[in-house]
Amino acid sequence: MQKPVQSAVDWLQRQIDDRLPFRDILEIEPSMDIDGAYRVQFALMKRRHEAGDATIGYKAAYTSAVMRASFGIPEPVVGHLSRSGYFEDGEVVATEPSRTIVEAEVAVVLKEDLPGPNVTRLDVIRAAAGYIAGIEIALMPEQKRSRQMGIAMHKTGGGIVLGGKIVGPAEADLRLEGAVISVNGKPQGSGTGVEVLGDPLNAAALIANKVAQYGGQLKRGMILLTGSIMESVRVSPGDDVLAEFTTLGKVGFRCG
Amino acid sequence: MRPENDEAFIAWLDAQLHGKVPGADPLEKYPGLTVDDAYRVRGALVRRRVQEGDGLLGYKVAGSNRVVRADEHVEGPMVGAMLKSGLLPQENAIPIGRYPKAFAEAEVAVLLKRDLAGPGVTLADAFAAVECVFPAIEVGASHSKTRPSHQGRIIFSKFTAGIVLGRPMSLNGLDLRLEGVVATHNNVVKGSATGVEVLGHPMNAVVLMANTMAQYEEPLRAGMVLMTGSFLANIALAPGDRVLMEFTRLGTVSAFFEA
Repeated sequence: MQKPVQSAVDWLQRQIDDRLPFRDILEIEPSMDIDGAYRVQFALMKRRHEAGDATIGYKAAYTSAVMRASFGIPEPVVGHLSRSGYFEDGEVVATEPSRTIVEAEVAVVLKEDLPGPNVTRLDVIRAAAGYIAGIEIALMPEQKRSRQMGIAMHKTGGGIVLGGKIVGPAEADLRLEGAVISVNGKPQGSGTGVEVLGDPLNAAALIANKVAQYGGQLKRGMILLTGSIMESVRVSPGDDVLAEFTTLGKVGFRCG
Repeated sequence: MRPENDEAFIAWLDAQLHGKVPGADPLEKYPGLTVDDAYRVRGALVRRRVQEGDGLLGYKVAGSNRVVRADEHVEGPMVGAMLKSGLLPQENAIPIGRYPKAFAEAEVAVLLKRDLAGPGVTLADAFAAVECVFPAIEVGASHSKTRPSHQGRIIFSKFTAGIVLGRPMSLNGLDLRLEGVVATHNNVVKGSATGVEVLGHPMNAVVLMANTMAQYEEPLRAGMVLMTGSFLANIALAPGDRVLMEFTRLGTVSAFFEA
């Protein structure tokens, strides 16, 4: 099945790089399934990595039951994190009016490689250097798109911001770790890690297994962004975003 | 005659709480009762209970949750009173069968080591008066099927049922605004939140209680327990249920219920 994947990747790369009018991947490959969509994602990101935009980690989306129900997604989606989408705490990050959303998430940083398959939360604890406060910046799609398209493109836009403090795996119970997200000083929502598949470590294990399944590698120093703790919040240029955690400290950025 | 001096009125309200007469809103007897009047009437009701041998345990805030307030149109936070008979155990079943509706809320409780007498109590005063805090469950109950007026809520304070306290913990180094809680009901997670949902910070509830009750000559006293308000939407209870509240650093507290 190599040829169909590469031609789909070529097509998708042109769509993105040349900013062509939106078309769903199912229009050119109507028989593409979820497995095919992941193969496209991993192939696309491998090309980007080799072209200089390194893969710095992976992320999970739709880890909360409420989000899955809202969007009709039956299971979490795993995506890539790229160097081009990494922003510093407190930076100004370009955003798109009425499309940009933010989410408070726990980031797991690896001190060892974490190869799959059959990764459990215990393996994550052993391989983790620790946990860092995170914000994911994402773009809501302009058009309705298929699950396959969503997966194939995850993440070609948006980014992440990490806080300045790391807390070791034996120092925190992420299930009970609280988080508050505020925009311009006003709290927009709060919750704990229980909202992330019962424990962000479960999401980290899920990511590791999906990465192993598609030939990716979780290496020391990579970031696993485990999924949103509360409902995503829409932001506009000029907004200040702040995520605060019970023991992980805080992280923020300004929307440019 | 002032409503708080109307002995028959106070006796009627007390009889409702004892389940001796059907529940009815205080506005039925005093349609013009103001919020101020309601606090004074509640004070008289508490004094009556104290005379009968119960004690004033402390105060609580209701209607303080950012999300719940939006849902229920409660007219801002209000201060309720708690009796010593309302201090309930974790290890014995709590009877709720006599109430048409009962519910549980996850809160932080504060034990005072100093009086806090308003007006003008500040957050700094409140911090200085804290002995320790507890993870807590408020067990609320309506004794009447109909939705009470704001004045009715103040008078009955929801001081039916009571509170369950977990282990004490020093407040030193803890920012309650960022303290998380996971609420579980019969082994199902019902929700999670942090203290930011309680008036921005649970200690703001202590300030509110001190300054509100000062208006009614009821200062907060050393030794009182203060319930600061719900982190989450309340959990409806039935006999046989169990609830568990797990906080990030305050530990856990649980309760179970029977008819």
